[in-house]
Amino acid sequence: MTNKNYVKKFRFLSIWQIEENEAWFTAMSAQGLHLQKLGNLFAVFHQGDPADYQYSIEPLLNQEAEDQNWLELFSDAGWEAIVTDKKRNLQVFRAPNNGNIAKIHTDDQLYFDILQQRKIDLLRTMILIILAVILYMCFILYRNPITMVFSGLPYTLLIITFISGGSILEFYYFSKYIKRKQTNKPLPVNYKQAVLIQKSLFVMVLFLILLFFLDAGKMRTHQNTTNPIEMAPEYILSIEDIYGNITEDNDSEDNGFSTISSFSYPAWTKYSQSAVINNTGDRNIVKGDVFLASSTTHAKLMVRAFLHHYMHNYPYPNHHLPRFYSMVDYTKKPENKGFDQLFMDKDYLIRSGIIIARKDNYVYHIFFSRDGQLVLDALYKQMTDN
Amino acid sequence: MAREQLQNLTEPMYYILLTLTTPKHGYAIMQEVEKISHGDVVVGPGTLYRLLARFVKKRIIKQLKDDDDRRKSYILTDKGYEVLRTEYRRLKKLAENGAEILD
Repeated sequence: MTNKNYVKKFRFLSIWQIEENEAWFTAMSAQGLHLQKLGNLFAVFHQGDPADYQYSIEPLLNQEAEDQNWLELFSDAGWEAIVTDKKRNLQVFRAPNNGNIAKIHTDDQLYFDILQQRKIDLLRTMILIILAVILYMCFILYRNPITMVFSGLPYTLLIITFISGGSILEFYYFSKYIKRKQTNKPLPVNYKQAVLIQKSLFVMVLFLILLFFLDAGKMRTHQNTTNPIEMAPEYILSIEDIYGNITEDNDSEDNGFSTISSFSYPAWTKYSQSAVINNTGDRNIVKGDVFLASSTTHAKLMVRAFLHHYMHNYPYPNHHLPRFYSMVDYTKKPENKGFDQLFMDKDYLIRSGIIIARKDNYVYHIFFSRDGQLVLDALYKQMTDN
Repeated sequence: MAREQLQNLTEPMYYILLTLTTPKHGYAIMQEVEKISHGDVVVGPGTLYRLLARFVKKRIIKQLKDDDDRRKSYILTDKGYEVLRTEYRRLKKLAENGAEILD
């Protein structure tokens, strides 16, 4: 809002705060600030002359939302439609506070029916979200345990908190709100405390997001400030490394893995998104991938996990080859010019992907972000040079 | 049948149905209810909308085909007349029974 005639105010606008927000809008109008727009966390007011308005926030049901006659009936009765909040399914009306305008709801039971219907909608949404989270976790664990092992728990928690926390809170306080309306008791919900909880949840999520970005920045800096040629091993892992036991003993400083600790991904951080291709047009230098991990053991575990995915001749416990990866066995196809095993992304010519190639005891695991053919050519070049 | 579904009509319901013996749109119903009840019964737009929707669903009133006016108009169905008359007879009987004792 660049226009000085508009004022933006931070405010939670949940459905269970209908009365509080109606009173707030009225108070703002008395100061000359008239509601104009509702955002996720903000209300936008237009600066004008002070006026005595009454506001009404109407919960919308599907039927009303689609019916132009509903709005017309209200405007005929003197209630001006100010804002339609499609996200929260609320409609804000305004009318002069002069006693000549009919109340919107003259039958309490009918109004409770609307609230009750909205409560059922909220419950349905909440159950669907929780079910989706559970199904997602089950899917990940069943199809792709590796993702779960190596993706960070804090990040997963962040997503779950963000998605389901808010909807549970919303349902809980709305149920209390309805009870309060039905029994006509003044504020049995401790409004201030509820808003405080809502704010804390919001701040916590913001904090987690901030940590996540700081973490990503740290990893990025580490990648940029470390010389990739020195870091990258000529090969990632030997066959023994892949199929044998990886023990902490292997964890030495000079094996080519670059390590870094990370908040969001405690087990591993990130591996560089480019095979090391020089920019001089020489197209020759492919040394392998750059792994940043909290320890070299984790880096090796990750490489091994990925290789198990793509070389699928190793029985990984509870593991199925995930369908959403489009790796194709090119070992016996004309594209293979000498590797013992070759797996590539189906569309390796046109988009980023992964190449896994084995020659004797050395396995190349290349994640390329540009040109697969370039990487493959360089690999052949290196193979013949050796 | 209808009586089973709606039980007794509430005051606003009764007056709304009374106004719909001739076609009317929403706001006209609100005004007419206030007029014929001499200001005793006021129906808010939120309440009226829910009640009209309920009546249409139970086929007590029906929506008239759109003409030039964009506003939806409603009118009683035959079933609606039946419901209204039954209610009228019930109320009349109640009043008569009361009169026998009180007057």
